Amino acid sequence: MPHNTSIIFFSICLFFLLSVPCLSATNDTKSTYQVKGTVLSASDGEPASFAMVSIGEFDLKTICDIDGHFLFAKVPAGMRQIQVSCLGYSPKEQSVNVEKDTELIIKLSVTSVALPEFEVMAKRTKHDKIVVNEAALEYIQPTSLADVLLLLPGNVYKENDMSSFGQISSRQVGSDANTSLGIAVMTDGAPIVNDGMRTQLVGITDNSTSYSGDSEIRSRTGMNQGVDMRYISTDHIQSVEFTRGISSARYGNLSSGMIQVNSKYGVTPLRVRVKADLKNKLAYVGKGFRLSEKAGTLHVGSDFLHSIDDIREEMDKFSRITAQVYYNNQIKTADYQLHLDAKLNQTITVNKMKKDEMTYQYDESYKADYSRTNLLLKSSLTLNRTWIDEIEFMLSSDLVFDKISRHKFVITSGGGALNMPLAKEEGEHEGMFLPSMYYSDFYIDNIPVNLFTQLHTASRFQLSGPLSLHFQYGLEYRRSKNRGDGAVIKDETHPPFPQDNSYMRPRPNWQIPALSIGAAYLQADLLYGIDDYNLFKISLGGRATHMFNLPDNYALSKLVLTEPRVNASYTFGQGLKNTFRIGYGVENKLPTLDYLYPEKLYKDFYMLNAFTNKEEYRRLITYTNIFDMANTDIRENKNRKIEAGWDLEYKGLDISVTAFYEKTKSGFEYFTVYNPLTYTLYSTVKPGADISNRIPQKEDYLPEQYSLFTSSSRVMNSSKVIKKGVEYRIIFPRIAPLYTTIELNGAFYKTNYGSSLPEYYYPDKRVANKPYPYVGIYDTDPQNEYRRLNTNIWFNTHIPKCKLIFTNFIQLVWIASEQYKDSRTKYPYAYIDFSGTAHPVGTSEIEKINSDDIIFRQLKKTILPIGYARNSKPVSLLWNIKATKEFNKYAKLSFFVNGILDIHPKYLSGGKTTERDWTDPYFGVELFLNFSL
Amino acid sequence: MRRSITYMILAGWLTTIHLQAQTSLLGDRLRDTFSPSEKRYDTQSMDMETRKLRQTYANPAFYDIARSDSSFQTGRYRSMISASYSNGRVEGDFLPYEGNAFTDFRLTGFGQYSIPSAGTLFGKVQYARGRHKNIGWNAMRHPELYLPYIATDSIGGDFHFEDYHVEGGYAFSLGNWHLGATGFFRGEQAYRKTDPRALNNTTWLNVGIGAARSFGGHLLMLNGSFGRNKQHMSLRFWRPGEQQRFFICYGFGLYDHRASSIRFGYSRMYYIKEGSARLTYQSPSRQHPFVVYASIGYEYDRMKAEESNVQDLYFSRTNTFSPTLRLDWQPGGAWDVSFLLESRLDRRKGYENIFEEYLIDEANNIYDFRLIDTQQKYLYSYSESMAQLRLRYRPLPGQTLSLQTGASYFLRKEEYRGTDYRVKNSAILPQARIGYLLEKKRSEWEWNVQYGKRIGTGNTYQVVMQNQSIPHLDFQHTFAPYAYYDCDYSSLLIAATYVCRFKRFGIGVNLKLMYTSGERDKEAVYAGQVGFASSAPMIASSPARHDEWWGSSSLFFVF
Repeated sequence: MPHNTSIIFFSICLFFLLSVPCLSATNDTKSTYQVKGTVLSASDGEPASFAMVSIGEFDLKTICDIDGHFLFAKVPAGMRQIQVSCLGYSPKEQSVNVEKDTELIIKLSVTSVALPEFEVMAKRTKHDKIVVNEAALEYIQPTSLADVLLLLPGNVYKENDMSSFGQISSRQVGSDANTSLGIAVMTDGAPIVNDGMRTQLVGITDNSTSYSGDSEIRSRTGMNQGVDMRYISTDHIQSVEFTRGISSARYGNLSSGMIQVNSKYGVTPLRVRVKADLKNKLAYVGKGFRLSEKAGTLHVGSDFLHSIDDIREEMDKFSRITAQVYYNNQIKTADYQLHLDAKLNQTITVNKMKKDEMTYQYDESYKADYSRTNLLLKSSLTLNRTWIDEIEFMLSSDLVFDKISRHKFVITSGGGALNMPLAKEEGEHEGMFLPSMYYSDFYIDNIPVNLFTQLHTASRFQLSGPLSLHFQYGLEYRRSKNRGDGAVIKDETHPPFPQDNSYMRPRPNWQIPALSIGAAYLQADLLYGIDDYNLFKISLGGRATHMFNLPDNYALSKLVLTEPRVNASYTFGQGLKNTFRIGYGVENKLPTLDYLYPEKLYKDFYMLNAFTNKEEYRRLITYTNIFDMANTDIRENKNRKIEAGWDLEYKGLDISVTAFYEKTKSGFEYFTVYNPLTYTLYSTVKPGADISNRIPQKEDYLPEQYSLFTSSSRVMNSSKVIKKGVEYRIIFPRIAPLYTTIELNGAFYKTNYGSSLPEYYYPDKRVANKPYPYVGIYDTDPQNEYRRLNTNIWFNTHIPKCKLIFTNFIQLVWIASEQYKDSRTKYPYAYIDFSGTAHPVGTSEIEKINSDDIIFRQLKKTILPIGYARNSKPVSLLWNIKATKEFNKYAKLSFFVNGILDIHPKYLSGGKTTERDWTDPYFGVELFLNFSL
Repeated sequence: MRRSITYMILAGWLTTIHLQAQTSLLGDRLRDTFSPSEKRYDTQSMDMETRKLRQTYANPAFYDIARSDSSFQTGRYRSMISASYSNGRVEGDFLPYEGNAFTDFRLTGFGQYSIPSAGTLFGKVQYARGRHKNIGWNAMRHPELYLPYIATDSIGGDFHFEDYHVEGGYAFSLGNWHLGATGFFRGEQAYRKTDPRALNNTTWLNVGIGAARSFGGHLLMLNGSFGRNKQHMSLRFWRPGEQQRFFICYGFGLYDHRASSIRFGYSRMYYIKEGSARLTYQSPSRQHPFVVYASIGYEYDRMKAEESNVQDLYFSRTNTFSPTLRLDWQPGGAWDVSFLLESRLDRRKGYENIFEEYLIDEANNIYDFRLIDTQQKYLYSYSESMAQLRLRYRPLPGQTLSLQTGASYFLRKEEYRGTDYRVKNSAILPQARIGYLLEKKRSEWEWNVQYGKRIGTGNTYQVVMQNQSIPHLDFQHTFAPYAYYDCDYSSLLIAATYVCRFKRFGIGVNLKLMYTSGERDKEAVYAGQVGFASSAPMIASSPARHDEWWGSSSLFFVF
């Protein structure tokens, strides 16, 4: 959206805000009533302390006090659906006709498979969020949050892998780092971030040119790819909400949607969960205490997970312990109620020494220490005043210790050239030869301290008649400061990744400025309920974000970034209820510390390389080039989203269809740039010079001006991802004789991964025994296009009297294809020579390229037709089963088999060779014990 | 190892000096075998009742019969949770593809729940883990399902495994009919932690239906099932740069020269589809002193293997017949007599596919494969038949003494058409068993001791490799099993159970022991040159001992 449009948009929002006094003047208090009530346990009549009570269509939410009492001061008149949820109980929805001040008693049943309403699937909320509640979470038996994603339309089954970082994907085929980075994971309203991590070391940093980079570290750490879901225990979670469309303006620094995690709190019996499957062994114990009537409740829980992806690989082992304490309380007076939450969460990894047969042989070691301590303080003051209904203040801070230590055995092929250690200036230096093999010790130390604070206010106005206006506005500030040492090589003369003569001289992370981001947001929701069966809703929201603490030369330091977001829906009908939805939004993800402050790259080329068996006569002179890899022009990754949807509800039939389009062309990416370089090379000994029994000097050689192109990677806003698709979800009415409900969902996704910058191509050739002199620049728009159409069908058979649930999940992938595409331009539009000058390519150059010109003909890019062929797979089927049997409320035993049956027909890959995808069943068992109920 | 076996014997003896009960039948019926030694224990055990119960409960409709007719009920408990530990070891000759030392631990839960107006729901869940040591010249799990078409490296090692089993079913009445449906899934992940590291994922999925009807007290039952087995095996060297030949075997030491290339790793997939049916008859048992039980079962399976390049190099078809006849005479006094005839006959035929590699895309130099012929060459037959006579005497209420004798006959033959390779082993095993059962108000004791002597009755080894210019694996894959079965031995089996009964449940312990001692026939010597001699676990070419220990202890909770 152009800048002017943003200004207009924010003006509209401001108009809404400023018009409130006028509107409130017409506030008809008779059109709202007070609804209060008590939430009790149906089994023993005890209050359901701190149950969440909401009226979804009006975005009204409150939390009961310790005695189960709740109050809505201003509920618009009419038939309203009140939703109640509480840890340990089945969620309940109750209709109430609000015609006067009303008092209710709502009884909740303890969660049990014996209850007909036991819900094992995700639910879609009025805001097009998808919510997975406590019962469904238990039924899924997740090991990590990633396991829950299968419930979302369009996602396909994937075996979990806890040994390496897994990117989170959203509305796409495959995954990419920018989407994963751009998905905000929020726990109880505060984000989990690892934007403050920084790992700058050749061989480790993304796109390091060293071919012997440490993939073991890279695959385990997942730098710049967002939140590591492995560290989020699902055992502390009561419910999860997924937003894949346009997020509320309240949430920022995201580009690809949001996962909101709500922690367990309140009073629960002692619960024990034990799970074993092929890769994971997990144990959890948790209990919620009622401290006293005034002191509130305390929920504590801890789990242990041991996981190994390939059981043969000792290095794959991953063990994690998490513990969480959640305190909440409510203070009430006649005029206000103050709700207090405090959460302390600790995650550590154990099993630190990762060794196997190979590392023992080479005496290598890999040690990974990780600890995260998170403290969340949240207070919510309900005022129910004319101007302000609620004020919420949140402070979240976490401290992460992440240290990877490596004792690595390095084998250099015949000895490479190494610049004088720590030479920080360009030019000529004496070099030294590396030994043919040695040990290198290094560690990467990250200690990010993250702070997030938000002041959020909600104001609700009931205007004349059926018109309501809700405002949400607030300020937030987040800061990430890394106090770690960064990458530290203990002896710089023994570098860990020496192969291509590229080095960094890493600065400690604590010298790097903190990430500091401030934002203000405003969202106005206008609800127009014509009658009980017609509701129009429009949400206009916007955020303004600024990055503080950036050096002045950074483009982002001068910008206030705006993100307009609009959602509108119209619902009509009584028996046959239709909803049409439309949304547009811009979401920005800001660069991470690692992207903002890369290290300089030192490239050392030998000028004189006289290596002999006689060590005393060796001589090495190198030429050092320094490349500043910092990109001060780096901007936010801006993702534009449009979506439209239609929902239908009719006698238990629920249909939802959403079409969407997302485009980003400013994703972060390490982009390869070519730099010309000329220096003097001494490689030919002068005629008559004898250097066999002495240290050679430059004068012994014939000097030669040597030119080449050297490549380096710089973070650019060059990644382009276009996502298009249609998601659908159909829930059929329960088939009573079979005790079965059927849900069908899926999506058609078309995802293009490409680059928004021109393509640089350097032919890997030598001409007259010298490096090739040109780099071609092509306007090819290369991209990989993926398409997928899938249908996931769940048959949930729930027999309450047998306390048994049996689920059949069938996944059909109708279309799965990939194809490389570009503009098929064979010729560059420009080329760069050794002086760094760019020359346009005209007709004469194209003629030379098409001729036998020994130099220019190399610039013709030719991809065989087979390179453009679409690789399509035939229709495939996968069948998963899951069963849960409950025994007297004390125990639940579950068993699952994923891929119990699969059909993957043979196909011709690329239309040529016969192939088949093999899948292995994945299975496990879980025991859930519930004491004292 | 020897110490743990000694402890087991001592514990078993301490239990057996007291005495016994029928609760053990529930555990024995539900017990799965997790090692070759345990399988041999089951084969040799003369426990008539367990054999019959396993056969009848394979028909899910029988759960409804047992619920509605008390004469079919065995024991007072219907559900069980148990934990078991087993250990076994073979000294001297062993089947290299099985290994020679076995350990496993298992947790089992079984329950049935009857709703008077609806039917009976039953289910079983089991988790087991263990280790099979010293497996040589075989990289497969459960090789007996796929032989001779196995794949192997030449190093071998120990397989660790983890096994999950879930089973469930429902039985109900419809008019005079008893109907039932059942299904089970079993999945095993086995792995080797030494190079070349193996990872084998094996699963079984089986669904079955059954029907039964009583005609004037004559019970007729029919059940059928369809199953699918799948094994994905993969082998890979962890050590950088290390390679080896992975053999794709055809039996009789033959292997695919072209496909058995030297590589860093190797993987393939096996599939078996199987169908089975069983028809059972039992004459009226109430008020009738003479009861006839007859059953005939048929099973067919088709195995095929698929390479990573999607070639199906071969497949096999196996037909199995298993007839049973049992006569029980219960004159009404303190004693009864039972006679059992049982047999199992397997016949497997192997088919080998011939492929050609052809150029599918000349421009891009891409090759693919196509099938041009199939030939049938390999034949395998296996049979085990037994005849048993049992006399039971009840000297006092709650006490039962049983005496049993019988013999079983074993025959195994392998042939390869066109080359006249033939191998045959046969033997007879006379056995005797004595058992004592004591049932008190608060406890049950059961005690059984069985002794047998195996005598070889005819063995043939006619394998001379035709192509002597290349080494073969006939010693590892043909001679070793032949030598293992060409032996005489004595065996002793002991089983003891104690159950302490409470008001609604019982807690008990069960011990089982098997000891076999013998030696290979002195003429069973491999005189040729061993092809691909390696450090992989293997038998000696000259005669050796044939000893085996196996023991199991279980703690169970019944209700």
